[in-house]
Amino acid sequence: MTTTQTLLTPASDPTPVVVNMLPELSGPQWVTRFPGSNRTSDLNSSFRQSAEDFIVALRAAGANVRISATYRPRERAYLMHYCVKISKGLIAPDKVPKMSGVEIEWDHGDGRASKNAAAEMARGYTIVHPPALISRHTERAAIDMTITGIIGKTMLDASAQAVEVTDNTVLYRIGASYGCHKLIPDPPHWSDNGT
Amino acid sequence: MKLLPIIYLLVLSPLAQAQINIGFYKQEKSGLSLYTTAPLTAIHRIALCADPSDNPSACYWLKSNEFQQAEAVDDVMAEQTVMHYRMSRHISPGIKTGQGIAIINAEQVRRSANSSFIAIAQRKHYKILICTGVEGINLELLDGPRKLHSLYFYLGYDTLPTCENTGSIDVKSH
Repeated sequence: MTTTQTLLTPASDPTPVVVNMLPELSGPQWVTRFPGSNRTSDLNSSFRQSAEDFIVALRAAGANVRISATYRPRERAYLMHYCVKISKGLIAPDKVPKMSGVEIEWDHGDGRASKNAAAEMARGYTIVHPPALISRHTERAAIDMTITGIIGKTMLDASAQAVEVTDNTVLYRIGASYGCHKLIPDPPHWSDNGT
Repeated sequence: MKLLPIIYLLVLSPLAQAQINIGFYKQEKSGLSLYTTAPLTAIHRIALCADPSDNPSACYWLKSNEFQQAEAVDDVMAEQTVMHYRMSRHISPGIKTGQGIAIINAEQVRRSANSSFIAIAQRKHYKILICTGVEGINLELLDGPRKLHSLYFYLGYDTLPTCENTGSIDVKSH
């Protein structure tokens, strides 16, 4: 097979060529796109420092820390949010707002086909509860981590004071001293403001 | 005279002796996972129920002998070991949803208002409360005002919280 390469913007006329891309129809192929991260390097700079310092202190005290999630792209949240809404008939496919950088066409030109494609996406994401559009994770300001083996140990807070972690509320205080605030109903979730 | 209590214990059915507990199930193509703090030997009957906010279908009943022990999982920060049991059989269309709530050793389960269940075990009524945090499901088993068990299931995506206490901990108050 031979391939041909063509300059879209000829050197003789430097005016940029505009290429109109047709949006891609919704469907399960979108599920693997815009993946989330579990790296602290994907957090915003101020919260990254807080989270990394807290984790270093936890590990130094003998805790086991496993990070599940840090940054979740807004694009992924958008896809998850609207595929559920369309599949449940809560919004018409042609009424879904566009999102820059996500060239998806929700409307298949047929109501049932649009709903089925959205439902396949929802199944692919294994969604049970309605996903939110914006969160501290989309703002690079939250971390989900499993912390075990810290109760009963002594660790340093952000002012280098040794504190015995007698229970989780003590751990929450220590986390807050580093700028990692706890959200109570979600055990793995810490963020820059506790939401 | 001493034989009487022994005979009495022998005639009690296993279900009548079994403690009620709670858990979560997750169904994938490869089979079904059950997550609970109950040891497998203490499980006799399991009701798999979709979250009331998700699906109005009835609970699906299973026996524990269909499950095998799998790798244990951590219950994040609760310092309790959550057991993981696997069943290779796929039970769809018995269960339509991919994940939901497991009620262990109940004799009857019925839905109640406000995303909760009422379970009857050993002639007692228990309440099972369900709410979502920002990215997981909180489950509580109550005997009157007393909390017997609580469990959290991490969804791995952000959702719309329904738990009343969704705020952060007030550090200054401790």
